[in-house]
Amino acid sequence: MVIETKDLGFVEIDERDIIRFPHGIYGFEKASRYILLKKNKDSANPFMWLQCVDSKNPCFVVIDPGRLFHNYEPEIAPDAVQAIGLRSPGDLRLLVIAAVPHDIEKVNVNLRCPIVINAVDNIALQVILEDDKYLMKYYLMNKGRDSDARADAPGR
Amino acid sequence: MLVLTRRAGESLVIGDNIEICIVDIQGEKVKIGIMAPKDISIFRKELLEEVKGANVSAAETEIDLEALAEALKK
Repeated sequence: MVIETKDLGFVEIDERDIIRFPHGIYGFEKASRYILLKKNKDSANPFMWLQCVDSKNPCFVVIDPGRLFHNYEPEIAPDAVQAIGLRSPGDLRLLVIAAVPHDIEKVNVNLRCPIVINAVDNIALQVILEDDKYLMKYYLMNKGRDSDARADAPGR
Repeated sequence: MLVLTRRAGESLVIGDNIEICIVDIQGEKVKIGIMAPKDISIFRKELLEEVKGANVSAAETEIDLEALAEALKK
């Protein structure tokens, strides 16, 4: 099917790649179908668009946190695991939403509210972690060479 | 909004399967216990508002993903 996207114009997608968010994403509860799009298919760029399938907006920049941090290990509540129908831990994928203000130096990722995906059935939801050691706005430019995800990491 | 007054130890029942209990009252703080099905999420309101705000801001992002990746390499 062809969908209208925020950044890439009209794009042909495979409906089997659609990820269902039964509860939407906080602030956008009505949008329940999304797809992951890369700017250039063959690019090694880890940033992707999480694009709503049914409308141009909402559309989020997302990234697999494992590409940014060596120790991002959020505890996902059993209720969330059950809600996405996860049958095996190996089927779990995480994404975090990136916010890029006009000043690109202020790019930040939301480590407190990751998106958890059952990659086999393509069902996902956004969780809010109880533990506040992960920040809602982790500024990537402060990271430097350090890939420690914790708010209280030494040197932060 | 329905407004009721309860004492410590008293409860409210909502629908068929939600119960709110006033566990304790100490000065300005009220300890509230909630029994609800697992598929109903419960959050401090200010936390939920913060998350929604963060998501709404993030959704406003207009950026070229290649430019973003380049900027972070430096």
